[in-house]
Amino acid sequence: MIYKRPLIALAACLSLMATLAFLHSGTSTLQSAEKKPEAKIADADIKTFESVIKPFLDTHCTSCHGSTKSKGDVTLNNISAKLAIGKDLELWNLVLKQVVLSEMPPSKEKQPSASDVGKVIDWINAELNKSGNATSLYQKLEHPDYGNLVNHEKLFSGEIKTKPFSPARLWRTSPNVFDNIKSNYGGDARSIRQPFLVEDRKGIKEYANLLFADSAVVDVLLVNAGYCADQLIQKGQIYKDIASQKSAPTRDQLEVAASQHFKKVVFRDPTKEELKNYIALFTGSAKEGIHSEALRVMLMAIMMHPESVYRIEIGLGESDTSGRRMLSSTELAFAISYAITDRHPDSILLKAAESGKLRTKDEVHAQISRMLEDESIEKPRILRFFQEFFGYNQAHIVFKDEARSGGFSYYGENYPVIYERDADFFVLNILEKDKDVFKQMLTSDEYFILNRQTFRNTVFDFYEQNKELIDKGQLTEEKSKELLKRLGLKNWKELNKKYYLHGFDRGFNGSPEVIKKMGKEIPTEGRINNRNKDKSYQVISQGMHTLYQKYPMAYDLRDGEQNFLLPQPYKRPNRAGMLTHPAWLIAHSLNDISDPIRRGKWIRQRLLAGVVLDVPITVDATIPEDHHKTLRERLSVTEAKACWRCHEQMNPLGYTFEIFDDFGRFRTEETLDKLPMVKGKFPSKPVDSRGVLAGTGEKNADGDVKDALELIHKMANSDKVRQSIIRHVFRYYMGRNEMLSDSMTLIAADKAYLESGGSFKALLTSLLTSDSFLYRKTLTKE
Amino acid sequence: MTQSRRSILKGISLGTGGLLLTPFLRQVELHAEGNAKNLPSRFVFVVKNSGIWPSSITPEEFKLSGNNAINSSLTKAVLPPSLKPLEPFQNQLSIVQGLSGKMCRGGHTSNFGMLGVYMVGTESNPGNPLRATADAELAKLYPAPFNHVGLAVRADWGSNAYGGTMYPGISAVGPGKELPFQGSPDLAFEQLFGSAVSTSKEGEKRFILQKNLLDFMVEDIKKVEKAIPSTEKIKMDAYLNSFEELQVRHAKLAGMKSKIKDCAPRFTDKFTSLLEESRQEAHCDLAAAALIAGLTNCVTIRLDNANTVYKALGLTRNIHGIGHDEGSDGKNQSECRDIIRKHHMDLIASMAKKLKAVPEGNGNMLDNTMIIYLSDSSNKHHGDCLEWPYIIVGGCSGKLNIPGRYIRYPKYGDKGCRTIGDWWTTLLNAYGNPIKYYGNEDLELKQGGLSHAGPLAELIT
Repeated sequence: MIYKRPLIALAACLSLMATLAFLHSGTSTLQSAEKKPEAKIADADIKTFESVIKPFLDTHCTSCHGSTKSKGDVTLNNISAKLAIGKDLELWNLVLKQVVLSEMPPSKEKQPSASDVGKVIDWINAELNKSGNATSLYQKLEHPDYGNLVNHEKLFSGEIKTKPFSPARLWRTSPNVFDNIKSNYGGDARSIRQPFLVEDRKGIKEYANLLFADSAVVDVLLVNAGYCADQLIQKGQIYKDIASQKSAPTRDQLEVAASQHFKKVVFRDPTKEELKNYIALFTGSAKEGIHSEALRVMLMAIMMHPESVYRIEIGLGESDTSGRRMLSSTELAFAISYAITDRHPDSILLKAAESGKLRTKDEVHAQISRMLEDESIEKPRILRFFQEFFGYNQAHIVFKDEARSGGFSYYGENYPVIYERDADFFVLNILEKDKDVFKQMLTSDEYFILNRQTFRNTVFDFYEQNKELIDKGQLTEEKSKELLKRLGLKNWKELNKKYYLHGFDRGFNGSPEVIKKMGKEIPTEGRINNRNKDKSYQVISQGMHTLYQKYPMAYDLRDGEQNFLLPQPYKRPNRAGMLTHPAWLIAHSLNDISDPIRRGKWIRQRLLAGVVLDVPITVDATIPEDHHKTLRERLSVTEAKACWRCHEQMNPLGYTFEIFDDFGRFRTEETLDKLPMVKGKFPSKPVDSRGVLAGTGEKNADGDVKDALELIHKMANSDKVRQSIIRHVFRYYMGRNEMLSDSMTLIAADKAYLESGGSFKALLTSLLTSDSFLYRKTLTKE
Repeated sequence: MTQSRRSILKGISLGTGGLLLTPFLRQVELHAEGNAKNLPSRFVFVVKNSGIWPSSITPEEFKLSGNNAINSSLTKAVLPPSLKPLEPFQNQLSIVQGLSGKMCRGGHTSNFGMLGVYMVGTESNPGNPLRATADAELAKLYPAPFNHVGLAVRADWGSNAYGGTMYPGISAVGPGKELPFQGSPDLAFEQLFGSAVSTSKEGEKRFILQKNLLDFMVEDIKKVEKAIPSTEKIKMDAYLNSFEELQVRHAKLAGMKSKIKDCAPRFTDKFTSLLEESRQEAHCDLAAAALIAGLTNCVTIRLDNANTVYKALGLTRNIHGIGHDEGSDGKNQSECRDIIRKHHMDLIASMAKKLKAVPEGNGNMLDNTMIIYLSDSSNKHHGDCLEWPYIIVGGCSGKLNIPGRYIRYPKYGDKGCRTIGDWWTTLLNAYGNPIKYYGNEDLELKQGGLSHAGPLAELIT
């Protein structure tokens, strides 16, 4: 059974680079495919090959890939018709990919009709299935790691006029939404566990097609439901009544009980049919004689309703002539709300949906603008996009050696966690301005250097400056606001969201009493670490608690070099944007070395919309040990011809970041710390950070670079880089990879971003009012 | 493409159920055959807080040799007084010392680090588990109707929670997925033995009604499935299959009724007691009975935390206070610790005794069991992870060379020193998980060329 993606202007006539790419990945997956009984030759559909496929190849492919020419070493004039028994498997997989992704024939050649292309795809898939080697292509096309298989130039060329849509789908409840609604289930929210875990890895995580409610989910749901049902029966009056009364509960009582809880966890009224079933479940269970237990069963069933596990987005609105259906008002209310917030729709959105005012693009636009502008609506998903896209939120997972770093602390604090929070501030600062957002992300020099002590010291400093007023309890509202402003907060509620405070400080509310208390708590001796034993205010406000003493080193600051009072940001030399932020550098490093290859791969895939092949299974990816060589020198093994074909995509980008050590500290010399010390110092070698930017296809961008900083500045001005980021924004908000049919959506989004002067909000509005977001189409299968 | 999807689905959903049930049935057969070689191995992890002082569990005769590595017979040694309750099992007693765990968080608790070998969480928050902990990995090797049972008297380190479902932050069945622990012995009794015996009318019905719930869910999901596009059915199928698996488990438990009934512990006051000591006893009774009934092969017990008060032992200061040298009821920290340890050893001895009384293969059930006593804060109240002592009782299925041995590894940083990562690797390897190295490596030892990051080969039979 094969899903048929509606395809667009397609063709044949194969060529070069991508060829090799696919051959490679194709082989490894095919080898790992399940062994199936071999098809007999009689099963092969030779007739269709002769009547449809062969003529197609002759018309569109063999002039370049035939007996006279064989571009990219691909020859199709003798390709076997016996794919069903595994003949020319790799070659056919390659043809399939070219045709599915409209890679071939080249745009300048005559294009085959969509129906011919459909026939070719059907035949290849059918024969592949017979051979027991179903293609991994479709699966890959749905996986975030392979989103770039869809040709970038084609996507943004404007030649594709297909009306965009998303496949009709189920989307598993997001863990963040669950966190916000779990209190609806009843009981103490802390005792309710997260059933909807997503894999903690780099990159965009929530893809509708990759998340299932499997038995791991059900295990947790059952424990939660049992706990919540018990709590409801103990504490909720209607449930308590049913459980404790001697007589059988009335139908009314049961209906109220069931509807009330159903509405809380499924977010709609139950249908009559559903109510009937729940009551039947109760009655059947009550035969065992105990109402409380029967009620428990009924409540548990409600809490595990399939719609509380999956949100169903199939397009219940009107159909159009191209087979698409718009989302219904209710579907839209949820889709919009879950795209912008982690909560279910607010009353305005629900009201709009109920009163039929959420049916047109303009109406959707109005709601989205309202929500984006309303500061009281939390929008954590925007920050989360940048966390997942850059992957800087994975820094805390990379363990760093305390001794090697000269004081990297894990005991009281996990330093990388704090750097991650710094990076959040960096991102939020740019989002607040909402101007040239992507360029700023890549080049801004406005860093925030925060930790728990920074907050306390700032409050202390404020106390010292306003001591008289505060001691008398006469702090005016206006003065209070000064402190808020220094901390970069709109209100005190924001404090714990923005700052990563110690439990002791989490209750801070800005009142004179707490300011005074904190002012007095700051130790004036002993624990504040400073070479200067002077107890003066000056020293205290600049000093760092021992736990945080080494923390600024990742920003190339020595102990006590800076006071870290708010407001910030700080400008740091030798840095440019997120890719030189300690959080990013640590997240993309290994335990005791940097990681040029994966950093290069990251840039190739995330910023340059490039495809890097899967590591061939035969490759032993270990770096040779040689204590006399720099990491770059050791990595020269990848420059062998067979390796370089792939490594050329990565290394020249990743090498440029060798100006930072694996803690994210700037350096010009690489310490060889496995050699013995000489005169108390490890030997070192100069850093070689030269690299090459290739693949943007832009004259001003492509070329040699001397280090990461030059690379970053070049990328920041590149169209392809901007578009590549926009593709990722699309993936995050649509929960899937783009298809060629999303071309119009992406082009419009890019335009909206450019015309607004680089506003993320404008980009988001464009995406969320696009056909890709609003329309669904049920994919056919065969 | 559906084919591949289907196989993914199989992997994520059906797999667990299949795994859960087939080998288990096989085990029941083996049980009857008395085939010692293929008998399941059992594990009980008994976790205390506030550290285990290495010197307090070291027999005098081994103290003299200081920090040197030792691997010597323990069967004739004079045990420290607090370990006396283990004398009847001295042939199958092991004390393992000197293994370091610097890749874990120090302080009041290492959270998942103790069994997961990585740095995680803070004192107020156990954090997000990175992978399945070693106890959970061992549980996977010997599946049972309840694959891994968690019993707790207390939740995470600073928590005051008492009773009900708890998440103590020490054990995880997978990345991000903490093992739920039952904090109330009476509820645990119901959950484990409720399919056959119950303490109350409600409990008796609960097992029966669970079937109604599962049947309802299966029908409910099937109805919704009709309304969704066929391409998306696969996702709903995953949900459906999970409930169908539970239906199967339910039926199996019903089929084991008489055995479960025979093995269930006698339900007494201690199952509803609020006294910590009594709850601990109740949990240990449950653990032993569940193993004997074949309901599970792996139990992790969280005995206490910072807020535990051992009133029945005559100590009115909580664990945290005692650990901070505040003393209790006229006794100093060391004396308090001895009293508590003696009590813990009594608990372990009671389990060992019950298991030993059950004949199995050519010996008894204790031969195929490993009861491991350890602390989430390594070697002291503010553990520094330089050393992680273990007391072990049981024959370890003959897979380890440790029963009746006193084993000490060279101290941290000395040549030949080893880590708890090596230790858990050893257990996993010995019991059939071929993992090369389990856990995070100690980077400091690695830098110094002292990291082995592999099993303690000398301990594997």
